[in-house]
Amino acid sequence: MKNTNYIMIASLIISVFAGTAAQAAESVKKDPMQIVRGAKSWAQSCGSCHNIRPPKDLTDEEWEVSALHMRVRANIPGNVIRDIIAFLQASNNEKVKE
Amino acid sequence: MYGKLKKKILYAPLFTSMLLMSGGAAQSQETAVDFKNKIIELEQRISGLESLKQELQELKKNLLQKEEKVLAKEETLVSEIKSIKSLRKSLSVRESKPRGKWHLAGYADVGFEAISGDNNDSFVAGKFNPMFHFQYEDWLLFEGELQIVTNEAGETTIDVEFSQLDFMLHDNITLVVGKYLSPIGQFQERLHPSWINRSMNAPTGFGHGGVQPANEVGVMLRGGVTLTDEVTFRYSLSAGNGPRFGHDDDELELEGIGADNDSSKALGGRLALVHKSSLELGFSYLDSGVNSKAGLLPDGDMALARKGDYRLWGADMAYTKGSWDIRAEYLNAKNSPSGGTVAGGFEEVNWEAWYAQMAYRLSGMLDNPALGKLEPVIRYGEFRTNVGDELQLSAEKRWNIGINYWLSSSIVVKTGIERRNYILVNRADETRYKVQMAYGF
Repeated sequence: MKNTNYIMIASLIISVFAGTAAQAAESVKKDPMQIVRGAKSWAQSCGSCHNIRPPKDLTDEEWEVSALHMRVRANIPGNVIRDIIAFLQASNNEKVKE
Repeated sequence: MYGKLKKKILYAPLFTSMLLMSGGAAQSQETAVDFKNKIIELEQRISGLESLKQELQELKKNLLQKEEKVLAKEETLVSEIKSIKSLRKSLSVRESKPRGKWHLAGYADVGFEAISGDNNDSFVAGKFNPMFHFQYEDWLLFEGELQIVTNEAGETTIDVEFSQLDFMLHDNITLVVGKYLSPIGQFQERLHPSWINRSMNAPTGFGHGGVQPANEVGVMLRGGVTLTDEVTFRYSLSAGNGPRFGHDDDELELEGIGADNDSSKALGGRLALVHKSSLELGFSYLDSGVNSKAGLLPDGDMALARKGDYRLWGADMAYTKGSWDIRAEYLNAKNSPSGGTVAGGFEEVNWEAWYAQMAYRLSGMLDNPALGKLEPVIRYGEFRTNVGDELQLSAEKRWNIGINYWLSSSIVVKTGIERRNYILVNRADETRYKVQMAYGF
């Protein structure tokens, strides 16, 4: 019974926060300094555990997923990880950016 | 009326010319008949022309009607093409921004090991750890990792290192549910993959079979908060099933267990501060009740009821500026009988492990691109286990000295010597010579 209560509370928290998190991500506006901040954070955050991986190692989509994994594993704030993704996607020369 | 007049006008010159050509009154009856016939013939031709004219008018009318229909159809087609273009555009936008994304990552290593004494030299199959990441929009990530190893007996084992759902609740809060790597310390969660680990194995007392749990089954809140321009705070707070007693008193099963045998949850985690100078300081803590009922063990041995309190604390540091990679970590764990030795049913067990490690990439001081890929590394660590006051055989001091050669940022060839000094005199020391190649993908 006690465990059931925990699960219900956890489910409620997930539902409330998941919606707001998705909206927050959508509302991020273009920021010309984002790539500059991302380059600094990429060197510092990624290099704190392993060699920094070159942007060309992965595609735009792969970087999004991989960076989200690193956000969780290394406890990197969400706004910092978005900066890093912006830098990596702008630098991987996967295609001519529109 | 107009038609008749038109006929007369047409016939008059024709008739006149025929009369002139034919001559006067002496013309024969035969000639008159000829004229009459020709007139009839002409009238028939005129009639034919009239009907042709009517047919042409009919055709013109039909053509106009068909042209109107074609124009109408053309308009319909243009409209349909526009709607198809719009649909295609919307579909192609969905394709470039799918809700679900995935990425296959992981690492693998192979190696060779020569051990002093009577041990045989061996090629080591190493590990193959595929890692799966599935992301839904920006708020949910599933991640799982398998560890596939061919052991000394030739058997292949597959273990789930972690299998977890991550909910991005907020920029600074992530909820993790499932089986996850223990957040205690820095080595087990972040440094153990062979392409990240600067040395060829875990420091003594760390990793699988070490002081701390390798993984845990439960829930965890974690994240990072930027405190100032220079300092970031990082936290991981976990509640899981926790450890349980193993076969012997000094043995605790610390791997993430899929069910709790005593409803006593393990609470703990790690708090850390990261300075922009690349200095990180962390503190870890874990507390759990450990209880087992009396009964027969799977191997037939009889076990008494045991009741204990497991407590672990640890501290770690890292400095990773430029070519430097300097780390140190300390763990201290204790499993004490609840209410004293008699009430708990076993003797207190203490575990202690620490290491200090330094690596330097020569690219920081050499311009030569080939030599710059070299990285000397040195590590020293100690591990002790005491049951009551008695030190156990596993007590060890370990030196690792090696040189790494980085073929790329995630492909490395490591060579090194490992010296194991066992603290108890009745266990012979060992020297191991190792080569390992690791690839993170």
